[in-house]
Amino acid sequence: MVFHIPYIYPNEKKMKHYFLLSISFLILCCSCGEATKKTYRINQIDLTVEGPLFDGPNTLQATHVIDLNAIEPNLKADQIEAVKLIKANISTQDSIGFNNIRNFVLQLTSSDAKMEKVAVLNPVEKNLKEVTLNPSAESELLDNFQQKEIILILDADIEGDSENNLTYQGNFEFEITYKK
Amino acid sequence: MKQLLLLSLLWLSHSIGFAQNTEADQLLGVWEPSNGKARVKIEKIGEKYYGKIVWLKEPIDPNTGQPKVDKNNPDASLRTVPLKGYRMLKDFKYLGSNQWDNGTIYDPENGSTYKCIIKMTDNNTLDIRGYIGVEALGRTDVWKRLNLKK
Repeated sequence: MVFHIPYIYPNEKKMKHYFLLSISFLILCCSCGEATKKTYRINQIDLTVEGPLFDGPNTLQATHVIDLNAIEPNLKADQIEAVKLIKANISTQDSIGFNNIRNFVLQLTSSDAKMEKVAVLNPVEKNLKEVTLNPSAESELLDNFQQKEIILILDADIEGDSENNLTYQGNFEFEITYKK
Repeated sequence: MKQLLLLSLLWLSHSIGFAQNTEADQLLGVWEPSNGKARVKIEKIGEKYYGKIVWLKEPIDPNTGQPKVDKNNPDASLRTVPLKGYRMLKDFKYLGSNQWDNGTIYDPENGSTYKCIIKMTDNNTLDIRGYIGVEALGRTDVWKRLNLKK
């Protein structure tokens, strides 16, 4: 029986070694990048909708320009690995509070990323002027945070019609995971 | 002469952009799927189109006696989202030729999301095609505009 052993030129052998070494080095470098978690806050942003408003879900909106420097100076969008909403508070100055609201649903979108449903509160309790929405356990907002700005969309299910505009204030916290 | 040419080009591009926006916005309005169980209002957020349920034939869940919620959502933390107001059409962009693409449609009856393409066959009729993977493997539903346009 004759075994065919492929002949490798000495230079080729060396080349193979160098190639494997550089691949291992690259893998090592990539895995060494430390993943850091920080909280990104959007404070007291006005979410608004113009009247007249009709009984049922009405859409309040706000646009926010993402400031990556607030997370870490010189952070680039491609260093971000994951983004999750961890807190969403809605408040109002209106004397009736949220007494005419049945429920809230919060979504997030941007020009080149898909809309994600990120939090819900159903039902909304009466006699409150500030509520905390329950964040989704699974929504991933990485694509949205790789855009320049995001649009926050709050669907407020209103009881009865109204002629007036509506403005609520939102406070949001996101957990950002990124590599240094 | 050069300035005149530049001005004409600017005017032309502006006019084309305006015409395309008007054409794209034909999708706005309230539509009814063929089963008549719901009515969906299509609106524009940013440059994209979204459709939310504004009316349900049977708004109350017979099991709970409460307004229906998205009980089949695969994300358990979102199962209290009410179906009235639910955005079942998301992220559509106008492609031209009366077609909107790159969007998804959500079926609350089974909690599944499908890729979707919308074709307007006339002012008051939409072909809504939901599919998995390739467009050929899908199902088309015909939606009618609620307030018919002439």
